[in-house]
Amino acid sequence: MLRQPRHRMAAGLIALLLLLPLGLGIQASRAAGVTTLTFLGPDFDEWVAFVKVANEIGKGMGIEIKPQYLPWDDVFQKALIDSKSGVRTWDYVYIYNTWVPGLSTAKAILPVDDFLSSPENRTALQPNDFIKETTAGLQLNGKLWAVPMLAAPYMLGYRSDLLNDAGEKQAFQAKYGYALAVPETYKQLMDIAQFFTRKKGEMLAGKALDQDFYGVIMANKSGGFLFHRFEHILIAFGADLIYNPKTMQPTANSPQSIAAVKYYVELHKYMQPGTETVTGGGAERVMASGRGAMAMDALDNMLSVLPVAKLSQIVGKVNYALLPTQVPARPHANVGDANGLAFYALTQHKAEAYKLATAVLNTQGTKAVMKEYPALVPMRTSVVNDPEVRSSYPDVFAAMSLMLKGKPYTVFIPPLKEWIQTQDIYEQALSAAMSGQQSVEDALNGAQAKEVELFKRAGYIK
Amino acid sequence: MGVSWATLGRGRFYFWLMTAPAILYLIVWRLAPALYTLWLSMNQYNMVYDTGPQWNHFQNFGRIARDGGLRESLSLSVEFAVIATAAELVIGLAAALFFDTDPPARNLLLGIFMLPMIMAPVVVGTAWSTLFNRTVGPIPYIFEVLRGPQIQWLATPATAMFALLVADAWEWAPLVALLLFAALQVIPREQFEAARVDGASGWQLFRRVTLPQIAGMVLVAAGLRVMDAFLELDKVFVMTGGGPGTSTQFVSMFVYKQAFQFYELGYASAVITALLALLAVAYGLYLRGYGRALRPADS
Repeated sequence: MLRQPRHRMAAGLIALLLLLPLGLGIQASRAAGVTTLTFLGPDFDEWVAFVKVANEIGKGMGIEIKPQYLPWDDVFQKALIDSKSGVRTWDYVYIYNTWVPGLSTAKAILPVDDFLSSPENRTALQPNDFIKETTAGLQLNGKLWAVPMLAAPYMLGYRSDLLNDAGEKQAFQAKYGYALAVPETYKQLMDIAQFFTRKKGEMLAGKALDQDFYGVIMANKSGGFLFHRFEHILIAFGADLIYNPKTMQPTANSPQSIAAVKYYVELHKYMQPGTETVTGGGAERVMASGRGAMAMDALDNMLSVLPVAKLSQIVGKVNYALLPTQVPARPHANVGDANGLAFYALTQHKAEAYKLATAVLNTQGTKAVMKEYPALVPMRTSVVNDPEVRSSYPDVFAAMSLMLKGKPYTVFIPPLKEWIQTQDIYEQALSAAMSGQQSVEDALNGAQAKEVELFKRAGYIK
Repeated sequence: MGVSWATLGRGRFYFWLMTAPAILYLIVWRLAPALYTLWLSMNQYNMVYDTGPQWNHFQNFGRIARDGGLRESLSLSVEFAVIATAAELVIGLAAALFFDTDPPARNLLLGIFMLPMIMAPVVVGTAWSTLFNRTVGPIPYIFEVLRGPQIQWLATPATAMFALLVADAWEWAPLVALLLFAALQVIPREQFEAARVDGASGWQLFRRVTLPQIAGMVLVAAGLRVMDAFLELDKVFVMTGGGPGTSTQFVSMFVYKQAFQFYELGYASAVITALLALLAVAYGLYLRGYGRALRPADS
């Protein structure tokens, strides 16, 4: 007879223990009168800076932001699975331009356009201030899917001290028959990379090298890094981004594509060894250790390492240029890269999330984020042209000015739902060609067959 | 006395109460996902783009039969599993025989030798990835100091596979050693002494006395390792990402890509189902062979 009340008491205690933290949480939140927004993003410095600034700005608005940092590609997966499962935890989700088709189709994020119906909201966002060359990647079906935060244009970082060294200039002229300068063409890039690839003990700018030195530093790890670096060359050589969007025919083994891969395989000889296992950050560390003449990477990747005294031995020795040109019709060709802040579709704080996002990512807010993260490449014209930014961040200003004035040929990853598979097939072929597993032609013919099979299965072609 | 409801407790209630967690666990965590996977394998379902699974009969299984990439991955997995298991058996047996000689500080040495086995596979992968790293890794550095060839360990197909085999053998040879050491410990020492008196050489002792008595455990170790190595993912993911090209894209990596990079859950489920069937057949044959191997010749 006594058992029943004991059971009840135990059940009551367990329920109390389970509900207590919840109750206390609600109590604390209410007591403070603060709305807490949650952010799902990558563990990158720029987003840590964003959260810090957002919390400072949010204080006056009664809003705070709590981040959940994950490895970069896990963010996509988490946002996707959580939204499919009906999880309402998130308010903001970091987004990368290639994720837009997936997350928008899966209805995991809201289009920013949903907020722009009121003049007040439109004024807060200032959409016309965004640099169009960089925001196009965050647009799909005529809608903007994230508030642009960080541009990541691919550029060439080069050692200005070496390219301007009189002895090196003389030697280069003697060997190649033209003057050593910032490469304007991919032929020149190859020559310069070859010229500066030297063994330990050889001379470089009048000094004996105490370690091997490489012409160009690249990140070629499979899983996206490799293709992401190569895609600019693919476009520059006049090829499609793997398929022709008009006919939907894969073109992995087109003559232009074969030429681009052959070029990259040749350039690979002048890259640092072990490049196949290196990510963007790793590659820039090698460059920062003074072991390379050039680097082709996202501008913010380079800016976050090369000019930072505690990380770099080449501070003040690196300048930035647009990528070279191969086909004249595609000057300085590059594939656009954009990062933004998206609104999670199941957010329970729509209005607050929009209010804080527009406050942090307006001109003043972006400048505040830049103070925390000086490598930030802003996506607003007003920030790039701001006198304070011009004087405080000369590298960013110079590089962005080149982008704006140089009008490089820019394309974006197509909104193809099978894009990740499409890219993976091509990247495997590229990797096989680079490692000597297959000839360039065999690798790309194999890739073409797989792409055709994929496109047939998807119903794009018969 | 036979087992009856009464001997299990005060009544059936306690029997069910005690077994419920295990049954619940099996149903919720094992059976239900397995059945869901089986059902999903007969559906078209891309988690990103499809609103929900759509029944497509056995199209996914038809695709398996035509998928050259999967065939290549299967072949690589078999190659890896066989070579890794063979290497681990040889190393493990050598280590077990060494420990069986009762060297000084045996327990300490044994403890140190077992350490890799208790490390998370991802940590093992990260450690070996660093060891083989061309820029900062000690292995290329040793080759450089010794004026050996400059090998890009993780960048060429053959050396990448070799690096994975080395990492796997380093991690799992201790398990084989532990199993075989346990088997060696129960062999009566008198048998060795008697054989020695009869003039048996060291090799004859091993061949005629030791090996027959640990053969069962060798089979157990081989079975465990083949199945585990066949499904290797963690180290591949960390060390090579399946590359260069597709030279280390084992079947687990193939399934991982289908499920978590391409979000083709229907096809990934079909591949897993087919693999499970394949492994079940292989395991059935193994158990049959294992039983025969252990059965005395005259029985």
